[in-house]
Amino acid sequence: MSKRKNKPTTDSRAPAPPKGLVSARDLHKTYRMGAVSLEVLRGVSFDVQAGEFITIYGHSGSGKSTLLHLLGLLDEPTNGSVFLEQDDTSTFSRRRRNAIRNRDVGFVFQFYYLLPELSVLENTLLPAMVEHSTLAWRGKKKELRRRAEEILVELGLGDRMKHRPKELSGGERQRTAIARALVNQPKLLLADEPTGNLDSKTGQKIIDVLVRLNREHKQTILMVTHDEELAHQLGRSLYLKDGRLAKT
Amino acid sequence: MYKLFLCLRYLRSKVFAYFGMLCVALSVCLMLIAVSVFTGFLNKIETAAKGLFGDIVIEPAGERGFAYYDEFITEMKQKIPEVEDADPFILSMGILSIEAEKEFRQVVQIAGIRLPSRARVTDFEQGLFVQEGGENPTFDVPLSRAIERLNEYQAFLRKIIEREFAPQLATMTPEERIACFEGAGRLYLLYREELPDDRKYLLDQLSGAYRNLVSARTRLKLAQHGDKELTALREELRKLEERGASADEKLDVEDAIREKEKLTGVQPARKRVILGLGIPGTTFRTDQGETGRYLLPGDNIFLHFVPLGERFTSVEGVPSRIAKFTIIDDSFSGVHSIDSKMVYVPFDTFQTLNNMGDIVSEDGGVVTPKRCSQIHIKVRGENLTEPELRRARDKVWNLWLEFRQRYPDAATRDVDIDTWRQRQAHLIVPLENQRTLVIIVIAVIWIVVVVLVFVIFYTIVTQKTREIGVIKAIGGGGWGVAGIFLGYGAVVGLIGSVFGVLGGWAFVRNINVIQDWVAKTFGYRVWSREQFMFDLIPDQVDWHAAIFIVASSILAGLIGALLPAIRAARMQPVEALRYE
Repeated sequence: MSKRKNKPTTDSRAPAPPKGLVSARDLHKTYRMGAVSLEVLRGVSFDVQAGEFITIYGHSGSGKSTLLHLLGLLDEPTNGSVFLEQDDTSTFSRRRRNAIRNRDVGFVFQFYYLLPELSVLENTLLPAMVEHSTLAWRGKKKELRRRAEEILVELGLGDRMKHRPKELSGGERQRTAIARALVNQPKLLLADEPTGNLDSKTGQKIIDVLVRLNREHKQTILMVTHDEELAHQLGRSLYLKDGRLAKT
Repeated sequence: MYKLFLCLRYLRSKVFAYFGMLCVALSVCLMLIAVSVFTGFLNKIETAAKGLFGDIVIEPAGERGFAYYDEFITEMKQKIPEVEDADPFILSMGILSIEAEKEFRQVVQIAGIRLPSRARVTDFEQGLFVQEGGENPTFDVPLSRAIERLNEYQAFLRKIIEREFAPQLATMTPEERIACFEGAGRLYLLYREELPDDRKYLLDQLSGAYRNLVSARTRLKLAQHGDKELTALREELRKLEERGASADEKLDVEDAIREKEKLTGVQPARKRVILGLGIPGTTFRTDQGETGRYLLPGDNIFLHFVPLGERFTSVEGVPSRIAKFTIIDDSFSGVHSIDSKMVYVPFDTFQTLNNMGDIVSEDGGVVTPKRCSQIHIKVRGENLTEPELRRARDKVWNLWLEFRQRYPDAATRDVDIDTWRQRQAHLIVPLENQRTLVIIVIAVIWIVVVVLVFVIFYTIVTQKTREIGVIKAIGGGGWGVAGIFLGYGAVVGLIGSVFGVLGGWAFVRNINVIQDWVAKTFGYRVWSREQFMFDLIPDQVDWHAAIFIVASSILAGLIGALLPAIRAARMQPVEALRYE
């Protein structure tokens, strides 16, 4: 992967100062495959306010997932910066980025990415396990377990806690993935095409869950989808085309 | 927390992990068996060599032997603080025959030893049958103790019969069963012809042993009753000899003693022997590895030998001698070459019979003092190293040079003074070379384990690439992810080696039973007692080696898992999540 270079944006106007929970400022991402360079993001800037439900939509290959990965600190931009509560994350150490991914950001993936060896409850608890050392875990185990169980019950998985992922339907798997993303009570929930692998009815249920989380718990959500109609039904939507935000 | 949790969870659900453990377990098992057997060999040589010869041996060249040995022993003990004790020893060849079996002949080595002083120089007292656990072995064993041991031996034979012939015993009436245990005779008469050849053979061995047991015990019991009278007569003869009575005066008493001895058939203490347990034809072995005895305490034997001529050499014209002895005990050192040949006789008796006693001139002066073949020395301290023993040996050598000035006819030719290791170098050096070879093979096996664990973990990490991406996406760090696989490797090494040690332990402990079973089932005997000099394959686990092997196996698991773990640690979460 190419190393990020923090050079000033080419835009003649000075970038607006970051405001809100998460801000993208002039994000560029270029992938190099041998001699060929593929510029996926070409200067994306926007802010996400706490409690918002933002949908980014666009065609396949428009850079939606790449943008999500940059915002979630899973990847580093070639140029530009991601600000978390006005702090420039490009200055963060690897350890701090790991800690932010663990505590402040929750991920929901299109293909769920549950660990097949673990039960629903164990998958849900995994981020909490990552956060705590073995010693600390012993003291907090009961509390964390209760929290995970509450989330699972709220997501309608109360009777599935001991099941393995292979014993669940697609919708149940995705709800488990949402539960996992929520267990550490993140400030930001990032969802990458969460309904992309589900039939429309099940997909709608997942959307309902996310909407409910946003409305009832003020959970900040940034979701990526290729479904324009769906994007318009939800809160603020951003259209990503050829690596740029076309309209907001 | 997640590192330990995922490590254990992966362990439970991955067949690959079990293969890894199996590889480690098999290699640990193999290593432990090889190292334990070789260490056992070397320990046995040490035990046997020290058990028979002590720490240092003085041996004159040629057959003239070593005179003034008691004087030299006294000087050594006085002048060399390292010398704890020393004892003279006579060794010669002979033929063993049995009173009851006229056809039986066996070439043996006859050792003249002093008891109980020998036990202070060597470990001779270990491995005795009648005087088991006793610190002061003697040829004058109380007959009641020998009878007690024969009763125990009868119970041992009975246990074998009950185990091996349970179906036949089940068909007998209680009276027949009792009759059977009195001599296996009933069993012999009723069932012998129905039995397959190998059972028939075992029954023959057991009945033979039983018959001998009964007659030996009867002889001892008779002797026990007549013992008081014999003791009184012997005391009378001793008094007569003390006051220098003439041959005529002693004749009556001597006749009476001879008559009594003939009646009981048990020889006095000076004419008793301790037999090596393993002289061909005197023992048998069961499939379970138990040793049975045909010749027992109470049995009489003859020893035929050619004594040294008056000019100290075995020459033509010197008539061979036959002497009758009573077996009073047997000795098991575990070294076949010793147990299958040695007959231990009282030192003074053998010295006289072998013409090594004082040679006296007509006027009563000693022409040539009495001699021994070797002097065995015990050096003060336990677990002494070879350099420590050599330092003591050098002091003995210096004393000998000085002693020779004062006693020029102590030994007419050169004298060798060697430590036990120097004497056994012909056995130890090849074994140590073989052990080095085994260690090289073990090192190769260890590398194979590392490679196997590497391949297994590389495959696991490849399979789990996307899961690694997920763990990193939820905040797992590179070292944390590496820790999962390193812990996984260590646990595979640990569990594999624990099972390997258990397997190796079970195999080593039962190695002789396994060998007997293989020999019986496939007709192929891996271990030949004659060829490998030890009676049994060493069956003690080398626990020091076991600890080292377990540690090195965990290390092998860690090293094998290291590269895959580093690969997992360095994966970028986005790339890992995109992995197809």
